[in-house]
Amino acid sequence: MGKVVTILYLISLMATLWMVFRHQLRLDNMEMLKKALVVLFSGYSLTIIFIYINTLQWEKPLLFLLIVSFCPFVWFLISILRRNGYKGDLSILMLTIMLNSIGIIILYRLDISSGWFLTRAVGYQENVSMALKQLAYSMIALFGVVAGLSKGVFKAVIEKIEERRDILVWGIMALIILALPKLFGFSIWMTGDKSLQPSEFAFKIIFLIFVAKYYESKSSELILRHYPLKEVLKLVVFLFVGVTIFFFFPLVLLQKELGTALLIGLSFIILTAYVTNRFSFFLVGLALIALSIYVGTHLSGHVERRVIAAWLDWKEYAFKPYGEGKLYPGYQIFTALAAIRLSPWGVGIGNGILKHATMDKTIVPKAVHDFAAIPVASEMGILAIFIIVMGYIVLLDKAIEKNRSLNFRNILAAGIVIALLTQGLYNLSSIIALLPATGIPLPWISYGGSAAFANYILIGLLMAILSGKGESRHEK
Amino acid sequence: MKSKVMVLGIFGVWVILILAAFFRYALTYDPFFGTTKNVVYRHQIRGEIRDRYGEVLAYGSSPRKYPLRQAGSPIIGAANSEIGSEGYIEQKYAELMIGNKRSKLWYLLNQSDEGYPLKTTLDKNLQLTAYKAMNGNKGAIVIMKLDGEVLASISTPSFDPNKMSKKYYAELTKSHDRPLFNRAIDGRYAPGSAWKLVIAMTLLEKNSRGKAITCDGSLRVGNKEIKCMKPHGLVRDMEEAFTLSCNVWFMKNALSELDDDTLGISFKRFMGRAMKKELGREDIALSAIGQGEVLVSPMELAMLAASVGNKGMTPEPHFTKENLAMTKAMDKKTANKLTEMMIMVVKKGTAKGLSDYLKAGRFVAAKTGTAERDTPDGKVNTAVLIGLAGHSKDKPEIAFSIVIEKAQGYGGTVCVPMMKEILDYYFSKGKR
Repeated sequence: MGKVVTILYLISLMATLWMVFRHQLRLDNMEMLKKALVVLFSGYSLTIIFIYINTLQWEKPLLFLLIVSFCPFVWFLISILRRNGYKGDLSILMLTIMLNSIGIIILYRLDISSGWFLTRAVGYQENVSMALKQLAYSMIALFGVVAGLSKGVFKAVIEKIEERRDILVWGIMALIILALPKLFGFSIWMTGDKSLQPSEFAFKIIFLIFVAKYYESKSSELILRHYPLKEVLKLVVFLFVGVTIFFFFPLVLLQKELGTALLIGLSFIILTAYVTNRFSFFLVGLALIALSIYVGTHLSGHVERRVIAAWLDWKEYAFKPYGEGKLYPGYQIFTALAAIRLSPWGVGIGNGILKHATMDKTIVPKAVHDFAAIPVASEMGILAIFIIVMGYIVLLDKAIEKNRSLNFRNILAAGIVIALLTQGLYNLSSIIALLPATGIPLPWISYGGSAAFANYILIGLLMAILSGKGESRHEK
Repeated sequence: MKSKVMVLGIFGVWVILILAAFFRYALTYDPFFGTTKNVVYRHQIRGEIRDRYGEVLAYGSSPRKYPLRQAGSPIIGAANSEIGSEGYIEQKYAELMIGNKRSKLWYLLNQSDEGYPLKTTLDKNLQLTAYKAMNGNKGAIVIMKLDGEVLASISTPSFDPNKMSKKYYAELTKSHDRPLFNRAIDGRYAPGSAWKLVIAMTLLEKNSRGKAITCDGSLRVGNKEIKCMKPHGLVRDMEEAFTLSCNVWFMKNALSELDDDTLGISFKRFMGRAMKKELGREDIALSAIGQGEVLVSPMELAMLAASVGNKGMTPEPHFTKENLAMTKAMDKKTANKLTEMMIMVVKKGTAKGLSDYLKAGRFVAAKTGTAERDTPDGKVNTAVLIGLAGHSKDKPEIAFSIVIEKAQGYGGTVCVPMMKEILDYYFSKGKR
């Protein structure tokens, strides 16, 4: 039974993906939008009902109702957009909702709860289901995106940013964000509740703005087909130095946030390859990143453990500690791979061995955070992973312009989508020991509040940029 | 256009790598994941374990039930979501019992994850009888068919698999009696006089029947005095020495006729453990009576008996129906001679307690052994009995071995009554 439901759910996801890929989902063409929503949410509701009956055994009916209420909520969002006469393409929003619903289903199926500062503030001390928390975060973020879009907030923000001509402001802002907490003796990455890291989104956006601004200022040179390589190299190296001073050094030295630094580095080289239209920059950048990881393993014990014990030699350290520590660095990868090995097509929703029989905890450590794709792959199979990565690829396809006009908006849009994709694919690579793990969540699927807000703000900006283009074209 | 294709290409290649890695881990066989530490396996549903007649030895899951209780462990073992799996069959054959393994590629067909039943070669009632015969002693019993199918395997003290939990498991691992230790397979004991079978085999292979020797109760080798049970007087030949189990005869003949190379080669056929490279005179004398360097498991002793009964072919012990090739350990002629001598031991020698069966027209052949061991609490005996039995007069069917730690007596007085109990049951059942 679980397998039949899984097949139906995967079919609904694939159909949604296909519709989003082939068509523009506009509010003036409600037919297509309605069809996509009905397909997506019939699969979603069916799966949620199945989990409620089969896995939760009719327990927690209120939670069930709240989780199902995601469908009317999305319809409510669409009606807000309609009332405000929003004209843009909704396919990107649709994609993110699709990915988000996969995350909520997996959290609901795992049925794990933990404390929540919001309910504690009201005086409710019991643990709250993570699915509910994630749903609340997603709903607030989605509502923010929709409200911002319909009121033109995102557009206004982008215009504001465009107006500021100086680039250094952004770099200094990032430096302050990273350095200030250090001066006051606390780290911004430690804010009690791990699901909320306020600086995360501000930082990512500022970085993208910084890079986009710089490339825009040099666009007249870069757009030339035969601009000499030496000069391009000079531009890129200049930017690289800036990025290192304002972003990498403070990240690595002040915050010890190596995962974010790695991710920013990867997004940076892909974006640079895109803007300069030179593949060789990507290769050189990859080599540089590999080199810095190699050097890092010799300098820092933390990196060494991550790279050697948890990645290259995870079999060796799956059941024994590395160095002085008590942790078995390879154990997480081991359990993750053991869960995938049960069946390549998934064992069916509810059939997987993901949760301890007695404890409120997953068998794969951190299966709701960094390793969120493991429950998905274990229960819904590699096909579900394929749908997730195709979702990201369609997002990329929708967001990047065919003709490379190097204005600020285009570069920022490309930067946003490249950053999101890099994060998603890096996460998927690290859970199957393809790349060293860094503790980076999978966008929209991993549990986490600040990540949800950050990703949705990026999506809001992206949609504002794309819809703005549509309008201006319309006016002409 | 070109730059968009480039970005799509970069991410496309990445995606392909990711999916390939997923498939690689999902589909390729990797024995590393078969370890008992694989928590995912712990929660997998296992099929029933059945004995050779289809009787259930273990069934269900969470919690898994074991009708044999202490009598079955640790050879059957215990599978439990808290501690994983413990014991021989639950560990070694886990992959065969766990469901959704056979047809990974068929999506809807591997729907039922109930696991597959495992048919073993064990005999539930024989196992129970042997456990009862053990009567609280510490040690091991192995009973196998001559082709290597294990019918019963006891190791005591054992544990109750039905009670298995984290706490119980911690108690077991701390216990001095080591109930989790499978003595039948992993135990190493000095076999005592039972090892004279191997010495006799080595002498026979050299076409020697040994010289006549006068036993005066002890023999001095180097600065060690090795005793015999009693002064046997003149012992004329091997048959007599074997039946009387005279230590002095075997030691003197081993010292005069066999060197350490010859002994090493013949010991290797029945003993998995590696010996010292060069054996001194003292070592040779001690190994001639199954002590010193000679340490074997009860399973290896049963294999030794089986190869004598099998006319020289050593079977590979197994717990599921398999056709395993046998290896040649000795000549047919030698094996026949050894069998004759073992029957004489039952007729006249130390295993006389089993001679009733011979009169009743059954086949019984045996050799007892007692090894002395110095411990802080004084001398401790390890009592050993190995042998063969069969329903008809001239054909052995099963090989057995009993090893009792810290025995209050000798192989002939401790193990023979136990074997009598087991054989009573075995013969009463008739041929099946």
